Amino acid sequence: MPDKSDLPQGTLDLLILQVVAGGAIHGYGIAQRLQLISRDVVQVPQGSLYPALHRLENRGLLTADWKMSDTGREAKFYRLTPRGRSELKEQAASWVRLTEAIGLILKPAGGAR
Amino acid sequence: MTWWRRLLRRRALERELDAELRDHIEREVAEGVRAGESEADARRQIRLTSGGLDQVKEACRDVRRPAALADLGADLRFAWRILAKDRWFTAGAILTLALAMGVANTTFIGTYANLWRDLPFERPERVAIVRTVDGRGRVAGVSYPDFEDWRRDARVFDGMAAAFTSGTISLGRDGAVPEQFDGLYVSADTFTVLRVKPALGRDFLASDDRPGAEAVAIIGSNIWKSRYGASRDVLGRKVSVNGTTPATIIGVMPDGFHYVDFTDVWLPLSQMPGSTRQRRDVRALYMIGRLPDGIDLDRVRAELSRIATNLSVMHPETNKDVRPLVNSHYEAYNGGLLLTDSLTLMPLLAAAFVLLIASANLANLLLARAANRSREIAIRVAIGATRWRIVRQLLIESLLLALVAWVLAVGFSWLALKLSTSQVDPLLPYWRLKMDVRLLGFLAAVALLTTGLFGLAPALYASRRGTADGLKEGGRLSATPKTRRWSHALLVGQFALTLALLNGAGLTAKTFYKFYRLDRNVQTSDAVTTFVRLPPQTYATPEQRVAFHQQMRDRLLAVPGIATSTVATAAPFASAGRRRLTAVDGRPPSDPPPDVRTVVVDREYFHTVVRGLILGESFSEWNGTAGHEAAIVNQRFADVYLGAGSPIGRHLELRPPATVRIGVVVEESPQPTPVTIIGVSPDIRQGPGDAVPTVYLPFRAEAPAGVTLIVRGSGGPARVMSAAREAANAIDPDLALGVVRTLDELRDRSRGIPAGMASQFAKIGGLALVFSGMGLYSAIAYAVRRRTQEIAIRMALGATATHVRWLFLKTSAWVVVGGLAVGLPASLAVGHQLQLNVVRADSRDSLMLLAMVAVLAIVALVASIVPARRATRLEPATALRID
Repeated sequence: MPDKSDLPQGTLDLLILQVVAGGAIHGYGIAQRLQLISRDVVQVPQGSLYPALHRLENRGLLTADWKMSDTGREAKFYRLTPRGRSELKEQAASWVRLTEAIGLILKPAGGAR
Repeated sequence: MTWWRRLLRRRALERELDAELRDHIEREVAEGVRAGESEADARRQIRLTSGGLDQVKEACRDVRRPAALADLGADLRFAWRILAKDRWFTAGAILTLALAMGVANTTFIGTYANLWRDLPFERPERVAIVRTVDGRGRVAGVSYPDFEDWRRDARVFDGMAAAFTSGTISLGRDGAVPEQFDGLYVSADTFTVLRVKPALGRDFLASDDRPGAEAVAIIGSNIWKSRYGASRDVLGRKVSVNGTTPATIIGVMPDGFHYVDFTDVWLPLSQMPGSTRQRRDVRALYMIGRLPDGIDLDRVRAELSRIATNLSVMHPETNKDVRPLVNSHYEAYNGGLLLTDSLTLMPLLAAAFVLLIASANLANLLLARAANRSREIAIRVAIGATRWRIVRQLLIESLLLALVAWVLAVGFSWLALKLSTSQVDPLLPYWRLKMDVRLLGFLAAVALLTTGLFGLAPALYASRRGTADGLKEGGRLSATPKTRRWSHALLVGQFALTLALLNGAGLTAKTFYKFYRLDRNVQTSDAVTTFVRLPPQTYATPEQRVAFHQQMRDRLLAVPGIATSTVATAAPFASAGRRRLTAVDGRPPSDPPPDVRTVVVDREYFHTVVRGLILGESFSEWNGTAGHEAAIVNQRFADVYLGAGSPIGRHLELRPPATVRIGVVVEESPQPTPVTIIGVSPDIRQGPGDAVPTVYLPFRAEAPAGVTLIVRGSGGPARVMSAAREAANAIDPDLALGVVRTLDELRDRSRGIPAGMASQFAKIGGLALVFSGMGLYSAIAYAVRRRTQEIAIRMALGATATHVRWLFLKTSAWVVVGGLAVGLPASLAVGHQLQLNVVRADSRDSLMLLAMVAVLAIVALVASIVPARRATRLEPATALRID
């Protein structure tokens, strides 16, 4: 199984927040969405996804309701809280800044190769 | 949130978590099926890729927990369940630890109290006692002029005082029956130095302690209560002291204050009969001084030595070579005793041994159990427990175990103290048997350390190994060779310590048994004793004293029910005087001449108190008068000093020794008294130990002022004693009789402390034996369980029951052999120590040692054969299936 260290530390939370920002969604849906959007690069196992979801819920960034789903069973749907929304904005911005910076640093090294 | 709401909430969360994760799996399965897999394949695939459901759950729970603390409750509950489930292990571990800690605690408290450090005045360790040593190494007190010089010149004390222990003082002529009490003559500032104030009335003033001052007295609170009904009017009352001086009571000391040991009456030094403030060579006082902070005893010694040197220059005729002897109260009263008489330390050592044994035992139990639990631990790791969780869980179990044991131990010692306080109180007023917080803390630390260390070490090992390893091996209850070596070393240590303890206890018990067998030589039934001191003012001559006791006897025997009446300077079991035996048949028996015990008795003594003489006859009416000097010796004396030949008719010369007690010089009598032996008495103990060579002298010869009156009669001690009191006061209304004790009481008291220690020793030894047996039993039982499959295979291949049994007996045989190898030298060392100090029995009592080895071997055999037999009863087929 893919190790969660495949993703840089802390990025899973950001990805989850981003996916949930698109509308109420259950855990399985989040995993599917991540895999789909990333073209199978990001595969999040249960053992990482659910602890992360519960952690975000516990921190008050996500909230959840049990709702009837397409399978006919009740499923737990996660939504962003206002705090989650602002956290997402902040983290996304800082992520972009960081990746740009890292890109700048890596560029000359990549050119030399 | 109330606990049940929290519980409901947790249940709901659990349910939701389960539903959520299952929903995820169902969706994945559905996805797989849609992609064309069979449902079973899809499920298998998911299990392989996403790991166990329980691990995911545990990870989610971890996220939700606000802090590790929240688990504590769960861990505690779980620990409790585990301990309750393994009830034999738990009971064994807790009892072992609790008993050992209880014993250690009570023993320590007793020993600590015995050291007399807890005196009832402020910071007793800061009060020094000063006496003197002369050029010949003889210890004496301090003379009044020396005391004054020292007090004036010494700069090292924060107050100095002097005191004289007077023995008994009688109080009377105050409307109540005359009574005797222990008295102490003190300089005016004594209580200031001790920093104790009277509970009622005032302290002595300097003006009370001047020659010619009006006589005053301070009484103890028990006199105040018993004699004066705790009335405040007691202040200002007059009471006669020793039949003469009418003294005014000016104060009452607080409850429990008896300085210096049993004292109940304090009088100013100036009232001391024959007190002299002039003579430098009468060294009858002892001096106390309070040390200010920052000054130690060495400083005091240096300072007083300097002054002593000056004094010896100024007064060479009296003070040449007289040096100060400075000790703390603790050293003066216990240091010497402690160094020479390790009886006080033996039980403590024994208790430490037993604590060690118990710890080793517990360690073994925990080791065995932890190995047993390696599978449980592996399972917990498999379902997502982190290593810290496991370690914490085991730590909590150990803590719980130690805590319960500790609480039990405190309970045990509380009970033991309650029981022994009532026994010890009247014997030793300063024995403060009370719980010591420091010690309880220490014991808790020992318990935690043992349980923590040995509970955790194997757990760490088990949790470190891979999950799969644990699961594979766990079923077979494996123990590593390392744990086994540990376990065996612990057992060997236990057996060695136990042997040493048993041998010591055996020797001690045997010795005291030998001592107490002598008590059959005394007729104790219905006999009551009291102390009579005839004041020298009224009874100046021996004739007057003989006449008093003659009248007393006549009056008493006229009372119906009174059978006999006799006097002795020391009743049986009480401490007797000492004299120097300067010659036997004209030659000194040894150089320097030995001291022997002497008891002055009247002629009835050997018929009424002792069960008759072995040889010869008792004193006649004339013995003791000029020309009829006679003595009766005890068997021990005859054995030691008279050798072969009849003791009757042999000649002795006795002289009182130079000093009879600390602080008081008794002038040496110039002429030794020659006496002829007319009889041999059976041995009687005069004190707590064995009988010693003793010479009995006739009452007529000296008619001492203070004697013990021993009266036997029917109707109970109270009736007999009131008859004696009536008789005494009919002759002399001022005469006080001392404390009343039956001979039985005296006997029990003289046995009290040593016998108590011996029995404690024996109890501790027994406990050690039980612990060692338990330790071996559990080790073997555990080995049998661990090797069940191996046994089954062996038996299936044709091994006999004997062979299988031997497999395990071999282990215990090695343990016993190892224990003996270490234990025998240890036992000899303990025995040697005992012989040096207390027991005076043969330390190489090989029979005793052999018996103890046999006891130990039998216990080891039983402890190992029971579980070993279980191994042989296994059905190979069943045993192989046992997981």
